[in-house]
Amino acid sequence: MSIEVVSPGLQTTIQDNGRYGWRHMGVPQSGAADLFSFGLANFLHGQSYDSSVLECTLSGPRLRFLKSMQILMTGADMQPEINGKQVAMFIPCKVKPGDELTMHACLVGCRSYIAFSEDLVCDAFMGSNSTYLPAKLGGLNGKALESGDVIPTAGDKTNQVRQLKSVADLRQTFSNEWVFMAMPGPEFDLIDEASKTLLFSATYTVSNDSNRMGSRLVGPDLKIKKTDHMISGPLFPGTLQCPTEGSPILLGADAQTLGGYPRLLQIALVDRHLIGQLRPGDRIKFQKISISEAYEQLQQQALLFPFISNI
Amino acid sequence: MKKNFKPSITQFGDDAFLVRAEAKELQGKLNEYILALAKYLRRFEGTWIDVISAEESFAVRFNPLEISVANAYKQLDEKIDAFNFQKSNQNHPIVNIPVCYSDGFAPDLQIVAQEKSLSIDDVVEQHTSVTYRVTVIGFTPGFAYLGDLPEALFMPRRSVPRLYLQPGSIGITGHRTGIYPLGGPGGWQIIGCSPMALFDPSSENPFKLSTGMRVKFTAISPEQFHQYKTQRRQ
Repeated sequence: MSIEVVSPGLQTTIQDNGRYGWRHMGVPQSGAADLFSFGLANFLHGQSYDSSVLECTLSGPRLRFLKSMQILMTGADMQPEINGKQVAMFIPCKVKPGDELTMHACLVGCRSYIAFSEDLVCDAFMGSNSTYLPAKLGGLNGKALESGDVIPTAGDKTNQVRQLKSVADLRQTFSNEWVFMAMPGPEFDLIDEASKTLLFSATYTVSNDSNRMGSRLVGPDLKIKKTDHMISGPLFPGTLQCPTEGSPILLGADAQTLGGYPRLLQIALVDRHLIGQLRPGDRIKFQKISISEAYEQLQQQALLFPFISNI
Repeated sequence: MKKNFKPSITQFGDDAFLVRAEAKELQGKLNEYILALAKYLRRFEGTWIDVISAEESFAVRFNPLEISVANAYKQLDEKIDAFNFQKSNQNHPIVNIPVCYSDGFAPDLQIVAQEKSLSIDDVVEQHTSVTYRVTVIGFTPGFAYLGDLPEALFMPRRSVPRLYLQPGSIGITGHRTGIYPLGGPGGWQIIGCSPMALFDPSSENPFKLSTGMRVKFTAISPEQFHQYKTQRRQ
């Protein structure tokens, strides 16, 4: 028994790199909504790439430690404080029994990650600790953290913590304006030429109706050819699907596995993790990229951040 | 089956391929072929992160930092060539699923009856008359698509999805009927509810249904529904 939840924040869940290989049974990927910030947290902290972390959303939790350990925060800046004193993101912090970590609200970006030098002990399902709220899978009883919860931890690995001289270039800065690299999806040709141009030039706004399953985008209407019968097809995180009347939905970590709406775009892997940082009100544009350019950019990212090849 | 056709492989983003075949090439066995091929590819776990089957297509995902797009394509193409599709003669047992079609369990039943100029009893009669086949599992954990629905019941999706359905809700849309194991939001027309747990994460096999299985619905009363639920809890 070693981390007590004093207050849970808006939606704080246990996540790892996700649940793979079960999509054909309808089981979503889940895992950290921003896999890059998740991977970075474990990398900087010297933990194995799939170690479970806490994912905080918009406004973070207040945690009391019942054991000594080291923690490290990445992702959106929630101005962490330990016992009321501000501490830096991206740098390991030592905590001892009785210490309290407070994560505040972030102003840019949406999700922060807290990595620990001990393993979070929780309910794995299909080999992953990721919390999937709709089916109550993984995490602590499949739920978001609540006040009074105690997260058991085990296996101190403090000595594996990397002492990096400079983390300045590993830090990410977010803004409220995004440009995502994207490729045409399987039903891209169901929209007319004017709509194709529009999709790659218009600015969309992220609506309040957004969660780990997907972000609903508000923007100019696209002219989609009506098909009498579109049978459900496979989906995965990064698909932009668009109902014939209505707002496009950019699918996130908890995306459903099948869907019957036209799949207009697929966000390139190099940018896909940023879907987890979209907050209501943010503005987003899509930039067309070829498969080979997308691969080149991904390779460059992997040279700087080798951990991404695991996530 | 003679191999005189080949499914198409197209790029789906920078880390997946979409595999599709035409119905006419497979003489009514398109769904069976797609499911069997996807299952075959799932054996090669090292290459594919996920093989996501739909009814008439599937996607394979790979990690482009571990295997190049060209190499992934080559492997997929070769595996598809090597796959030998055998029409299955296996007769799956029929799973009987109790469904309560009464008021309070079936928010769209009245609308469906009106739209189709049928009595409520006719709708129930039609829905329980057929032995369905599980054509695909997907959307959310354990959600089973069943076909074919009798043509008299074909309905479009609701124009506005419902925000909350109770677990076990039975929906219809187009030529499919399906069971929402989790509850939550959904756009199909809801004509009943089953007390049976179709997804149980605490069980050794969490999924009650899998593709190819045959399903028949039996109408039950609200009393029987509650009785079944009470028994399940014990």
